[in-house]
This record gives sequence, structure tokens and C-alpha cells, in this order.
Amino acid sequence: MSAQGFPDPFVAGIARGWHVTDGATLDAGKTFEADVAIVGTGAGGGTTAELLATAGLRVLLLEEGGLRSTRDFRMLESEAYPTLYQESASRKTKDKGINIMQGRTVGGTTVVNWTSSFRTPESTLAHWQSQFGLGDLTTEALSPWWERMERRLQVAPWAATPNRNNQLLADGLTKLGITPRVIPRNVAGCYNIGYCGMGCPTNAKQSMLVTTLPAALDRGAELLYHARAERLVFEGSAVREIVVTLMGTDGFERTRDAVRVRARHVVLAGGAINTPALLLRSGAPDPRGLIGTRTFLHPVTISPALFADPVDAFAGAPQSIYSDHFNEASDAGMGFKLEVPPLHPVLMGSTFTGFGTEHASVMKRMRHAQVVLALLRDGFHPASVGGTVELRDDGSPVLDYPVSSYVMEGARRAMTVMAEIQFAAGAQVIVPFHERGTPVRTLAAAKAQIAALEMHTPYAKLVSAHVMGGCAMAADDARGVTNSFGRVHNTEGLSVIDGSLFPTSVGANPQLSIYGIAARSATALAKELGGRATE
Amino acid sequence: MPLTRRTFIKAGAIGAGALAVAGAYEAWRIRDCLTHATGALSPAGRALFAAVVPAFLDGMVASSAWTPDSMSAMLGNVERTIATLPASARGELQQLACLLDQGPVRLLLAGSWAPWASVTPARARQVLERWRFSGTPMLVSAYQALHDITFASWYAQPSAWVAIGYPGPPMLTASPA
Repeated sequence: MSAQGFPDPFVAGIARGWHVTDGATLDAGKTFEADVAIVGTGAGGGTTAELLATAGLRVLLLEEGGLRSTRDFRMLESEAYPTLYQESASRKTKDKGINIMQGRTVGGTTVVNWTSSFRTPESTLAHWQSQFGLGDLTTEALSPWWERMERRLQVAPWAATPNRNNQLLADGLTKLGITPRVIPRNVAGCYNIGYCGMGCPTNAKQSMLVTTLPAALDRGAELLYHARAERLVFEGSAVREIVVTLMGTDGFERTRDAVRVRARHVVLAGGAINTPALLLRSGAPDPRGLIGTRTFLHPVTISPALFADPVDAFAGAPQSIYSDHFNEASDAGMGFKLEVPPLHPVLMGSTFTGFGTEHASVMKRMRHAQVVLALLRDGFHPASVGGTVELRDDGSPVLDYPVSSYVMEGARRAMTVMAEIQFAAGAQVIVPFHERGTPVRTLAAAKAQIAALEMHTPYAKLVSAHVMGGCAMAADDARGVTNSFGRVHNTEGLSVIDGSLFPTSVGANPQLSIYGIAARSATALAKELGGRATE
Repeated sequence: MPLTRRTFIKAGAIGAGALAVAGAYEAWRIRDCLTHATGALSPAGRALFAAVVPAFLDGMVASSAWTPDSMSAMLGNVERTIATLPASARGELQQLACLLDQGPVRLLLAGSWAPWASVTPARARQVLERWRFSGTPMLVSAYQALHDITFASWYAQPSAWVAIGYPGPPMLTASPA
């Protein structure tokens, strides 16, 4: 153990009688009942569970992943990726062009995200209003929900000194006359160690594991993990039951269609890709064939650089500085948000291009490596329609996301901007993130190389940590799958409350956008189901 | 493009080798080209990774420094990495390994009929370069899959961290409340 003395809320909660069941050891044949069944335990499911349980409703949470909490988090990539992430952190789009980091564990992606907490940008909401008829989702209407969740999850701008990885982004921006901004984070008593992506070992990160889920379980909610909702069984337009497949401790399927869940209302919160996939497996009403379409990724291009002095990008709060200077689309192309990622050996070794001495020479200078990333804001332009969730023969989902030239040109522009920032901050070398990228020592050389790169997958490399859309909210079923409260059009007793609701990408790290929408939708749902008023 | 038999052929990179591929079709379904059902690397899978690992890690580990023991340990890491992948990804890797286990396919895609067990590190480097910079997306994706698995397997080991200056996770003790 490399972290000692930190209490584990799940160990304590289970000891005092929480209703927590491991699907890996459960016999087939059981039927669970509840007022509300929530499929998924991340940002959407956790927030919804707390609010419904607090309103006195009987809640059952289903989670495909395992249960790992404070005492399990040993800050090792070799343990974290297989146990806490979808497809061992190597989920890929259908053409292998984009690697997707998405959580799969009790607490979902909130367990492994880097804590950046932004409100939904005004321009995103304006687009949703004009294009999807979501006139009730204004900044004014959503602010109380964001404020409530910011309080709940202790969101505040990072007050400590940024680590050098972030500071160099700030330095470069400042040299170019752009004001760097400080990222709000959902942490309390953060040890500033830099291992957010492997599960927080100190309980500082206010993930669902230490906030909403314990609160819901304390109020009698029940959790069944290692349990994948295989399909919903419809009776007319209503959900009669959920058929559940049990997973083994290894995370792989153990017994298909083993147990059943009956509830007055079902909330889908498995996240983008998984929630639309469940609806597709279920043959849910979908008159316009919209389910799974318009799935967005904030495709990320990165800019690896080397500096003379150590950067130690593995240490310290991973994300504390950002810029939205380029985050609106313009005549120059797609908008993008600038941040930095943390670097750890497995992530860096597998992400950085090249092999042999070329790769080794960069790895040997790991302490000197600095990386800026650009989150491309997909979904706001006719040439950026996102991807479509498909089902493989075994029912597992795969996202077909052909990367358009509009997106690729956005990536090219972002690569140039990031190189400019890093050279302004004093970078010695930059290696354009492309299979044919070679080290360059001047901005002029970087610009020339980036301008000439053939921008197609899989040569041009993209990654993603934000999956959004696929069950878009819209005023009517011609434009979306649900209404603005996540109620699935043309069904009864069925809601979606997770990141798959967004009609475009968010244009910011999405967790707080999910919390806000979830709090709003769950509060309305509690009232409708006859729950006690809260707050 | 996913690494499937169909797209392999669609990619048009195989030419005359398509016949050999078609002939091998039945064999793929019954042979463990990469791993056995237990998850253990099969002899063919071990040969493939034993050929490419020294080329990938050149500069970190001299090709001449690999011993049967160190290679066996590395192949154990590779085995564990592959075992954590979902069935769909493992299936695609299995198909890739099956193709590359065919002499005619190796001749067309790797430039030599010789089995992986006889490929030198220098030759493996040439093959990886050829795939990496290939105009056929499927070959680039195959290279990238081997790249990602090899480096993830290597850098997961604490023993690999000294050479890159990574100190490992910090020791933490909770502050007294």
C-alpha cells in the first residue's frame, strides 16, 4: 500500500448494513424490485440516486463494472486501466482512429476523471435552443442546479500553485497575450499528487464514490454491481422489466440474462455509447432512427514537447489551467479548448508515436515532457455530425466515428496553436502528434511540418475522454430521443440521465453539465413519482 | 478500418495472397494463433511478440540483451495486457495473428516468407516501419495495436521506471484528523 490511513466509505457503509450485492457471486433467477431502477452509477446515476433516495423512493442501482473504492486505489496504471475503465482504457472507434477513455466501475467516469468542473458554455446552450428547441435550458434556468451541485461536490477554482505541466501552458498563453484561466475542481483537501485518473486514494476527489452514492445507500438504496443491463423488455410503450447479465470478478460476462429487475420507472445512466446501445438492444421505440446517432467525443489532439528543466507531468493536480480563447468556431475553423493531460508511463508509452530508439529517447526524457491538449468542439457544424453507436454480433457497442476533414483541419489548426504556445513557453523540441511526426526545434519548422501532414486516421492520431450524445434531448421526436428532462419520447416510465443527452458536444469537460441536468431531471422525477420534497 | 478478414481483403493489399487467405479461412477458426482459450499466448502468438518486442524496445533494451528469461517475463506481461481486453478486441488480434502466421501473407505484408521465430530484430524493425508508414490504413492499425500492447506491457512494470526517471506513486499517510 502506498496510501495509508484513509477511511474507505464503502467498507464502513457495508459494515453498517448497506444493501450492496456483487453480481459475480449472485445466483441466477432472482427478481429485484424497486420504485426506480437506475442503470449506471456515474455522474448521472449517482446524482439521480441521491435525490430520489432522499425523496423517500426505493432505488436500485445497477452497475456493469466492479466495486473499487479508496483502499483499492494504489495509483498503478496496471491495476487502474483494466479495473476502472471501459475495455481496459483501450475502447476504440470502429476504424480504430480514436482511443476513448471512459469509466466502468461503481462511480463511473467520476472515479477516474481529472476533476475539471465547468458549467455548460452559454454558446452551447444557445445552439441547443435554436437547433433543438431546448428553450428551457438557459444559463439562468440551469444556474441554480449548477450551484447546487457545485456545493454538493465542493467545486472551486484550484487555489494551489499549478504543477509545471499546467504552468507552462499558462506561461505560453501569457507570452502570446492570452490570459490563462484557472480550472474549478471538485476536490476537498486535495493532496496534489496527480493520480486522479487511477482512483483517488485520499477521498479528496468528490467523485460519486464519496458523495452521492454513500448518501443514497445510507437512505436505503440498493446497489447491484457486476451487473449489466442487457435489455429492457417493453410492454407497449412501457418498460415491463430489465433483463440483467451478471459479470465475473474479471469483468467479463458470466451469466447472460441471469436476473430481472422490475421498477415503476427506469433511468438509464450508463453514459454515452452504453445507454444508446442498451436502447438499441431493447428495440426501444425509435421512429426516426435517432438512437445512437450524433455521438460526440471532443476529439483530442495533443502536442508533446520537451523542456530543458524537469516538468514532472505525473505529479500534482493534473488539470488546473485552461484557455477558451479558441473555443468558438470561426472562419478559421472548429473551436477547441486548451488544457493539459497528466503523463504516466503506460499512458505516455502507448500514446506517444514511434518505436525503437526514436521512442526510447523521448521516454528517457519523460521527466522533461510537457503536453498540451486541444478538445475539439464537435457537433456545431453541418460537417461535424459525430458518430453512430452500432451493435456487434454479441450485442456489445462500437462507435462508428468517421473523422471528417472539417474535424481534421480543426486538429491541424490546434496542433499549430499548441506548438506556438509551447515554443513561447520555452520548449526545446515538439513532436507533432501524427504517425509521421518528427521532432522539430523551431516554430517555423513545426508550422511547416504540421501544414504538410496528411490529416487522416489512423495516421493523424486522436484520443477522447468525453463521450456525449446518442440520446439527444430535443423539443420533439423529430430532432431528439428525449425531452429536456431526459424522458424518452414515445415511452412511459423511462428516462435517460447521463452524458448521452447532449445534442452536441458540450465544449467543456462535461461532468458538471451532467450533474446539473441530472439534478434538474431527478428532482422533477422525484416529484412526479410522489417523493417527498427536498430542499 | 477494423482488423477483420473482410477488410483485410477489401484493403486490396494482399493481391495474390488473397487465395492463401481464403484457403486458411477454416484454419483460423480452429487454431489459436495468438492465445489459447485459457488466455495464455500460443506458440504462434509468442513467436510474433518475441519477434517485434526487441524492435519496439530498441534503445531501451539492446536487442542483444534479451535473454530467454527476460523475454519470457515480457511475454507474460503481454499475455496479461491482452487478457484484459474485451472479447471483440481479442478476436481481432487473434485474426491478425492468424493472418501473419501464414507464409504467403507474411511474404506480401512483411516481405518475407520466413516464420516469426527466425526474424531478426533488424528485419522486424523494417517490417514495423513498413506497416507504420504504409498507405493501407489496416496495416497502420495493426502496427498501432502491436505498438500499444508492447509499450503498455513494458511500462506497466516498476522495473521499467528507473530508465525513464519516473519515481512511481508517492507514499502517503493520512493527516491526523
